[in-house]
Amino acid sequence: MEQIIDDLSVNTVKASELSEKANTLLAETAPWIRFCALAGYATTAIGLYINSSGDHIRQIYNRFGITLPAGGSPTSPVFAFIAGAIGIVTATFLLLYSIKLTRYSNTRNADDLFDAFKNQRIYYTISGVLCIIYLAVIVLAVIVGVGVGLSLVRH
Amino acid sequence: MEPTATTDTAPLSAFNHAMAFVELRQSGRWMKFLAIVGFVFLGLTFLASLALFMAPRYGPVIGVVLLVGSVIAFLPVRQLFLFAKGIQKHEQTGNMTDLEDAFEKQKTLSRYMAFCSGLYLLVLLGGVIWFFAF
Repeated sequence: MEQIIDDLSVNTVKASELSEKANTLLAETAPWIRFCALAGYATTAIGLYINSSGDHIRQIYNRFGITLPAGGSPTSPVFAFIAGAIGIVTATFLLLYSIKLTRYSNTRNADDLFDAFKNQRIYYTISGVLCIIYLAVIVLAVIVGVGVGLSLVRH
Repeated sequence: MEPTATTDTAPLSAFNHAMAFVELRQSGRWMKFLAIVGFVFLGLTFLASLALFMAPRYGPVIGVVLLVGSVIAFLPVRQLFLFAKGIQKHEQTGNMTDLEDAFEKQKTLSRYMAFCSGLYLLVLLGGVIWFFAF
């Protein structure tokens, strides 16, 4: 029985091993992905910093004749926390993907390839779920908007 | 005879290799979904930009900005779609050339995204510097 499982596994790896060209392409991709991840961290940090310096933003807006309501930050702290958390989590999985991909390029170890693709899958799953939530919010906003509009017409 | 380390780890390596491909295929499905949503939004943005050309005052200016934005965003969405399609094709045929094509698209996509995110970061940093120089 064990022999059969072993044979199956060996056949699978023979069929699914990456070619030299594929390995080279993955190795060349890894640094670009790492840069994207680091840029993601930096963008999130700058965004949060700008958000926390509300008074200064208010002054800039005032120069253009726009008056923002008084308060600590121009956006809600809950929104800032959620946006920051999403930015950091997605950038982390992207960074892990690039790190594991670089490690795989050096070692050609299947464990590293599995870890790399697992992190990539988590990154795209988070992105996909966020996209679904975003679409749901848009649909909800349209329904609420149409509902409010219709109720205003009736009254 | 004692089994060597290579024969001991070979089935595990094979299993991890196969599992890596399972993960890649699952990523491919999400990528395809994201790319299709991206195409739909780009189409809507394109239509909105055309409509804005007929609007008064700043309408045409905003229309041009949206049109340029949708053209810039078209390339990564297309690359993401082709990457997902390549993974799906490899899943069906088992042909390594399809996967190589997919990885080629991933490389182009990541290079483009790195360039765009770098540019965005520079603009953001410029904005912050300007912000405090005010």
